[in-house]
Amino acid sequence: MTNTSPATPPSGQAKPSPLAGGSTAGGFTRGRLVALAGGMMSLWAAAVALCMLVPWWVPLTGETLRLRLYRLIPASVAGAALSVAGVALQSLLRNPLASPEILGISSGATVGAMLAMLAGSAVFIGVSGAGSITAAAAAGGVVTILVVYFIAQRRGRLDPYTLLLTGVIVTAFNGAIIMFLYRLAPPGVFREITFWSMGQVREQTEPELLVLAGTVVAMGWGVLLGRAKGFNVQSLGDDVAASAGVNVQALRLVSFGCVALMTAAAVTLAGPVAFVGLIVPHLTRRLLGADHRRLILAAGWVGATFLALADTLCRASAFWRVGELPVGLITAAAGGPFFLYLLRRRFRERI
Amino acid sequence: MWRSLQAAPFRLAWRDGLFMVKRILAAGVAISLLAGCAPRTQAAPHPRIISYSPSVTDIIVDLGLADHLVGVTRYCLLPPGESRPVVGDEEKPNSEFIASLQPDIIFHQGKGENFRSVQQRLPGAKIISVKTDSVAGILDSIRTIADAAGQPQRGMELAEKIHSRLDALRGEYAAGPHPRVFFAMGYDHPGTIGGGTYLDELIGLVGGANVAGDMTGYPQVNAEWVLAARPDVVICQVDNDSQLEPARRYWLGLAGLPAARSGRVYVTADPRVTFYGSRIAQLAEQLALWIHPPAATEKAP
Repeated sequence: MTNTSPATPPSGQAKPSPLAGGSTAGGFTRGRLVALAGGMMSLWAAAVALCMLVPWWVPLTGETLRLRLYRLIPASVAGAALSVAGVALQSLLRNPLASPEILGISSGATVGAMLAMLAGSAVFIGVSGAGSITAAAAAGGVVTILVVYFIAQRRGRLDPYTLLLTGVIVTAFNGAIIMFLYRLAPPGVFREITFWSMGQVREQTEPELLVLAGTVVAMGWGVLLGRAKGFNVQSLGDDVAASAGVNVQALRLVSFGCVALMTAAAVTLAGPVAFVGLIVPHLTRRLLGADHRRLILAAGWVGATFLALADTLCRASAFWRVGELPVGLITAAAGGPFFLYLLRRRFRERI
Repeated sequence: MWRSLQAAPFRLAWRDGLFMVKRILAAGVAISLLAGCAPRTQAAPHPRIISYSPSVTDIIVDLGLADHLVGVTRYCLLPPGESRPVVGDEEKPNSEFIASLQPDIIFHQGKGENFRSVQQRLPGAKIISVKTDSVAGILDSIRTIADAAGQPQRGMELAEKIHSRLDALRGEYAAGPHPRVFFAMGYDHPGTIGGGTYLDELIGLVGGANVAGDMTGYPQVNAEWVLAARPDVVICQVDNDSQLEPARRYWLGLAGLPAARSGRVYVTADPRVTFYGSRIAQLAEQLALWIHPPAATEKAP
């Protein structure tokens, strides 16, 4: 089984967006990319400024602003990580349904983080506190993607559909482990783990954890951005990419590694937030077209904006009678129907 | 020909793998059967009691019937040095395991229909639902449990004792200031107690005003919400002793809180604060001390 079937880029990928200005993959200058990065960063900054004012009925004090900022930054980092990871996966697998959650990476990172929490964090692989949970989540994510990859590949060829199916099965398996870990959790830790596993940005993320996760995400984002041209060629098919001089196997391994680490960083900061890695890449592709140099650059900022807005909605929901909603609930409520919509559209296209 | 030669080692490996899987499955089934056959009965006088609630377990222990317990939940607290088989979740009771404990009475707080299969397996056992989500419910439950265990007098005495202590507290704090109280479970995204809950009732009984009284159930809030609620007193329950100091620092660090400014932040790792059991009078007295501290100890929680 090979990957030589005609390239079917993710839905919407081939359609140039009005905002893309009709430019093709080759029509970029470094200056335009810098301008795009600046514009996207401004979008995120404007969204954060807006979020700092919500909920508007609470008097603004230095303390309130500090509390809001302490949540907006981790939420933004997690959103950026998941979105860039989603772009890379959808491109590599040439499948619009691919995302860190669907491939089981998020659930693998969750298993790792939960194990570290249950082990009491401080003794885990010699690093202390917050770092141990990040390291364990990263280990869980990497192990999962390796398992999924080696089950799905045959003689170096990777069938995207087999990979997705394997991801779904491994996600179910990880789900069973997570349920088992719940049963093992002592009563004291149970509540904390329960809320975290719904996807929730903490109010007091340790500065060391934020720096560590932020560094991982920035490096992963940079590495993937550096391979954007490779993604562009690879989206035409493995054979086309190979004939154009792209080392497809190396591109995959490096990208999967970055995706696993970035997902682990996101899981450590905000728990397993669902569907961000699915929705944001599509949204960005609609706005900016399919060129991965623009796409990878912009998706991170759009993802950061998306999760910052979603978390602000959750923060404000604390003032309702039922209390604060976990951010994972908001993203799942938006992402579930979106996933079904993509599935239906894909199905219609194949008929 | 070449293809079939290539495939031969793969087929062999596949058969070996299948054989291994079968052996692992067989070993798993054997271990499960042996585990299922293991005797689990606990020596205990009749009536043998299973408790599906920490509150009920507290009541049974306080009635002096701890030695009748043959099964408890993982959250129940028994007298020091004692342990009992853990029966699991009352939403899905394991009738086979319960039958192996040979209970005469099963107390739970959920739906009776969850125990239908247990009742079929143990037609002679009494399965009794008790409601301990209010002060009146706790007092009724004490009487119900004592009656079912054949000790009605002990139940009457315990319920009367608790009732009179609560009445004394109610009289003492009915008039006077009603400080605004925030009860926190944890400190990062703390859970709290909505109106109509047992702790809301107790706080009101000792002259406090629950700041989350207009919410429902046990909602989760955030620091911003707590700042906006402006509580005079923060009572925080944490999961273990290692969280006592971080929680205290966290709440005292919120300078906008009236409670932090006056130092009226009280942190406890006692799980019984959220048990709705027979320790309710002690808990009410403790809450009264926190909410209306004697002047001398006001700033020394």
